[in-house]
Amino acid sequence: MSDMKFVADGQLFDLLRTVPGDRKVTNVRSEGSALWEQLGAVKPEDMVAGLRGARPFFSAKSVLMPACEVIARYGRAEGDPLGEAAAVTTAVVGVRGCECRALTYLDRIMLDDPMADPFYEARRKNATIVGVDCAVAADSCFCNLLGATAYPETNYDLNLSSIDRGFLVEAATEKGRQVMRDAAALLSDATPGQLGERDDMRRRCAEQLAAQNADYELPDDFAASMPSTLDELLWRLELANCVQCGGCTAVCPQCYCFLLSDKALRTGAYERARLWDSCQFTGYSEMAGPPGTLKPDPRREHMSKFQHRFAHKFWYNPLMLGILGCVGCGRCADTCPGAIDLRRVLSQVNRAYANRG
Amino acid sequence: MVENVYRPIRAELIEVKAETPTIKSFRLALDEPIAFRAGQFVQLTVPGIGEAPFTPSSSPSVRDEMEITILRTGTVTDTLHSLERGVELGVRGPFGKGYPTEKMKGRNLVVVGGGVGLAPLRSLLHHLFEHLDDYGRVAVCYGARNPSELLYREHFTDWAARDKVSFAVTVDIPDPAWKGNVGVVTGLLKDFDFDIADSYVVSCGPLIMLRFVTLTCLNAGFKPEQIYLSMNRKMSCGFGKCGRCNIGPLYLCKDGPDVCYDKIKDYKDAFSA
Repeated sequence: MSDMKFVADGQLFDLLRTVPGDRKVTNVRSEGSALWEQLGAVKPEDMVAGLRGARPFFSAKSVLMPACEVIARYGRAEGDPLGEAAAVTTAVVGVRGCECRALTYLDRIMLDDPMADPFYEARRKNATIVGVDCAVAADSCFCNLLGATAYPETNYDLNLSSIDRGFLVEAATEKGRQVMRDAAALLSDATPGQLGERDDMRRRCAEQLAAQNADYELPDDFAASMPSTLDELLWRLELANCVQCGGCTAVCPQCYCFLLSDKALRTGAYERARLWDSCQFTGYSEMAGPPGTLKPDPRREHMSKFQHRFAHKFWYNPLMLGILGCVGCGRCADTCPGAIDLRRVLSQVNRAYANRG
Repeated sequence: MVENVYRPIRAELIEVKAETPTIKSFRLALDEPIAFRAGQFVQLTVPGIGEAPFTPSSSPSVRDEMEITILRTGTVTDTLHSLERGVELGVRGPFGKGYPTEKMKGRNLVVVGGGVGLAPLRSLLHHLFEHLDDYGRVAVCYGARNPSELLYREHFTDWAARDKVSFAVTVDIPDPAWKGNVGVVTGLLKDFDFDIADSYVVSCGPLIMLRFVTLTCLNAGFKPEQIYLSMNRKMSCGFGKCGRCNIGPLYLCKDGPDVCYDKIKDYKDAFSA
């Protein structure tokens, strides 16, 4: 435990500034929910307060796979967006345990089978990830129900744990250890008392999560319970609250769907962009057809789109990857104008499955 | 520097051939050759307009040129149909697994095409005809809406005359000159004079046709794992990233586009359109 260090609140910002990155971004602001912005745009005291608060609205996905980006130029258009993306290093500050776990999932999709997405790969490789423990959980958080912790366990370089008047700092990779060497003057050895404070903080958050989710019971075996309950009334009742805004998939730290869109920059010069897409949108899976006709669409019905989101995360993903498509962060519930809460839907699936006998 | 798979390879359109009133074949000369297996597909770019996925209908053994047969049916294909030789297009790929030609060696093959669905199957036919010794019987069954919509008519006699190959064709709506079969393509799927247990079905066409081909073949005694279907889904990336082409846990772009019926039969949106 000797490599655990302490940084005081007043020096946290200086520590974060030593994290290498041409671009340093954070999703932390004292108001809680914020877009990712430049580290320098956040006031140091807001940063400290934000890191002690509940998880922010947007996840690290927004940094590694931006909502809209140019991914190719062709014809007479000059420059390679991949080269440009690969040349930038990024410090990503304030990544929560759920987002770190989500990276395991995104890596499986984006870095493999049958080949890597070169943009995600470049950004992932060039990112230094500074994680942070959740000292408190948001009301919608339910990571504990999926057997996870509210602090980063994987995919971080450096991690911060909030304690009295400062943070404990722990490195998980050589990148992180380098930051600790570079910022040695800001750090002191953590005392046994401080280590105990961290354990208490983590335990309190776990107790909060256990208490707020006590009434929910998720299925043990999603891949078994999902398909056999798709015709139950519960789905129609939940569907009635969905307005197909796509907010859930946008804020999900694991949803990765995108579309490609081409345009002419000038005669003979073209650009291809990718934009986040949502399986909830009309047209998402619609195929080509003659104008004025009903175009072929395997998931035309709203219900099939609605159920697809659940099926993909809790039924297909275990079959595809052996892991769930959900980390229990509750961001989708926070953003949903219809207050659709995954915990509630899945608890009903569980009950309906149990009642089938 | 990693190659940017989203950037299309330049391809010159060197020939446009009208196949039917709604279908044209486009021959492309590629700046960099694309080596594909029968049944693998490419994303064809119309510059500034967008891309759409197509399986080449030319032989996989021809590398520097590629022919793609395309039905006019949407934004990209409408534009394609208005183009003449000499224009620049773009190609990305190949994507997908292609037909399991290795696994099918030594077996009989029933190849069932509907409408423009014969186009992707043609790369398979090219492959089979180039390696007929490796396979048992090859029964090609083809259906189109009417005689004017039949693809590759000039090759029918040649195909039918090959050793070990049978070729049957039908149309839904005949014209006065039509002397052949009338009715849907499933009507041709009978009186098999070979061992069904030692055969595979490979089919491409509209989803509704694939569904009935599947039902007909199951009734005839084929097992789900003997039936391969070119399923239709919208695709953007081509390699399992953009998310939209799934049937259950399969992404058609990387796990297909031809998938074994056995792997998709439990997903209720498999055949919805």
